[in-house]
Amino acid sequence: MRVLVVDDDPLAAEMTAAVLEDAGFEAVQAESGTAALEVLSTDPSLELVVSDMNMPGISGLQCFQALRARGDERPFVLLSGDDPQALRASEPGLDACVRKDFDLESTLGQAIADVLAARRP
Amino acid sequence: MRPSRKAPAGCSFEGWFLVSRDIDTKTEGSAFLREKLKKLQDAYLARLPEALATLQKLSSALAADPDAEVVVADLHRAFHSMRGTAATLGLPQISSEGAIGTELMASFKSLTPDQRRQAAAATLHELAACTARIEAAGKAAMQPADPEKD
Repeated sequence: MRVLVVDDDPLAAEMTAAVLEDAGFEAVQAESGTAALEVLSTDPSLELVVSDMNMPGISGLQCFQALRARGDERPFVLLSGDDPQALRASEPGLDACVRKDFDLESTLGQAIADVLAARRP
Repeated sequence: MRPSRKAPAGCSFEGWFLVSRDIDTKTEGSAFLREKLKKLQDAYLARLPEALATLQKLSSALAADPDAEVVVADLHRAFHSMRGTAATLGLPQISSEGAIGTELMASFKSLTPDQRRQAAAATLHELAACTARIEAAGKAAMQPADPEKD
């Protein structure tokens, strides 16, 4: 499965991509919400989005909202240093929110597994 | 192996062994992931002086104009980003200081223009102290672990 990683911080993006690759996904990186919206509009092979929340320009949440506004229903996982439950409560449409911490490989992997299971027909 | 770091001279806060999480103790993830994490941690620490210079530059801009919304937003984002990325890369001390900076800027952001002008000096003082602690934590994290302390 191809996953789009969106983060303006290249080291954070690379870490997230490494976690995903280690879990068997193919990770593609976008450096901003704007770049993500562009690549998602032309690449249907990207099946899931993992985005940082706090980015200059379009935030992760705004990127999610822009996708849904144009009818793109691909699963969207938001990463943030903030409390993930509060973020999820502020935007219940999000598929998952994961805190950026040292346990990312377990928390992100579990979140994606849950999202994909919930989406399974 | 538990990491053991010595606090640089002049630093008094506790928990220095947590300045950098020991990647070898991670039980999850593959050798590939641990190696990648180590490389990214090293890269992050190498670029930390540049990030600190940016924080200092933004702080100077804030001192010149406490109402500059772009500067306030950039400072908040810079500390917030530091909090998240450092946590992900196993640098909890830097992440904690990033959280302190984030809270300081969130509070400052919520002030009226008059309140900002009154609070600017104190906030800048706290930001400078926070930035100094981040610098110290970065230097401590780059020191090799002392094997005699394991």
